[in-house]
Amino acid sequence: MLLYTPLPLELVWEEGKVPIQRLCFLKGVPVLVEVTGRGEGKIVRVLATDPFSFLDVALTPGQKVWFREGE
Amino acid sequence: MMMEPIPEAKTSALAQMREMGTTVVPQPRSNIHCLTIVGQIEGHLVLPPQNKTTKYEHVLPQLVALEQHPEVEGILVILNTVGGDVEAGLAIAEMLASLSKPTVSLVLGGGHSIGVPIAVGCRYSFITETASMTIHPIRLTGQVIGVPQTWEYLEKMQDRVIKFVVRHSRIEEWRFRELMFRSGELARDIGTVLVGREAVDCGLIDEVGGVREALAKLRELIALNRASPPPFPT
Repeated sequence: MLLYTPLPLELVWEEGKVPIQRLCFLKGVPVLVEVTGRGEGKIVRVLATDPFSFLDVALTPGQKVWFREGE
Repeated sequence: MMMEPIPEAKTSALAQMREMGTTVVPQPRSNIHCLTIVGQIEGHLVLPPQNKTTKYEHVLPQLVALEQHPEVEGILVILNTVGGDVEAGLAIAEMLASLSKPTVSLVLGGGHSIGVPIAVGCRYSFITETASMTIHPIRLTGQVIGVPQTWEYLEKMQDRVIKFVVRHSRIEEWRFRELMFRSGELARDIGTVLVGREAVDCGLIDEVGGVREALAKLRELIALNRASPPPFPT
């Protein structure tokens, strides 16, 4: 593995707390969701390329979401 | 996986009206999509969670989708990255360089190390006045064997990056190597930091500018593309 970065490698590889994140689709838009509890999560990042997806209030990072039953 | 927003969340039109004084407006679809390359470019190994990362397994299929989507006519690549995995970075750069749709990159903040090939891989590149790009030698991580072959391997890997950059920008190879191995500029490394106009003067980036200039250029390239579409079907 070759890392090409000016960041000190000890900083890159420093161990931290691992939040559970899942890639989900909300209104057809790919979002990265952090699982915060049973059946619920919080949007961390919108992964869409359409700039208008970023204007959608329902997709704002920090917005809470429910996971559907059985998923 | 499918999911739903929380009912009665702040997403309802009424709540929005109360909070923001606005309501949902019908949203147009953009013919220009933007791809943001932020943080570390993550490759074959998952980086620890304190790193903000761009994952190539997200970006590569997105680029395929953008190439195929009939409504998307141009792609704006926004870079603020500290570099990362060489293979993943080169993969993204090669994808951008081989798209048939016009691509314009805009370096904001930083486009360091492996961010350089991604920036120059686009058809036209911009850098803001204050953004910087660090050019320095590649380092090996993990077990390093002290044999001449290690050096040759590293040199070969470095050449991949150099060749790509030289092929896709106006910089000469000797110039890029000189910037990469210059001493006395960086505190912890050898290499150079190019700020704004310096990146343009050495031929790495095409122009100094911001969102306005980048979008104007992209529209110009889109118009050219419409007038004479590429010879292969898009």
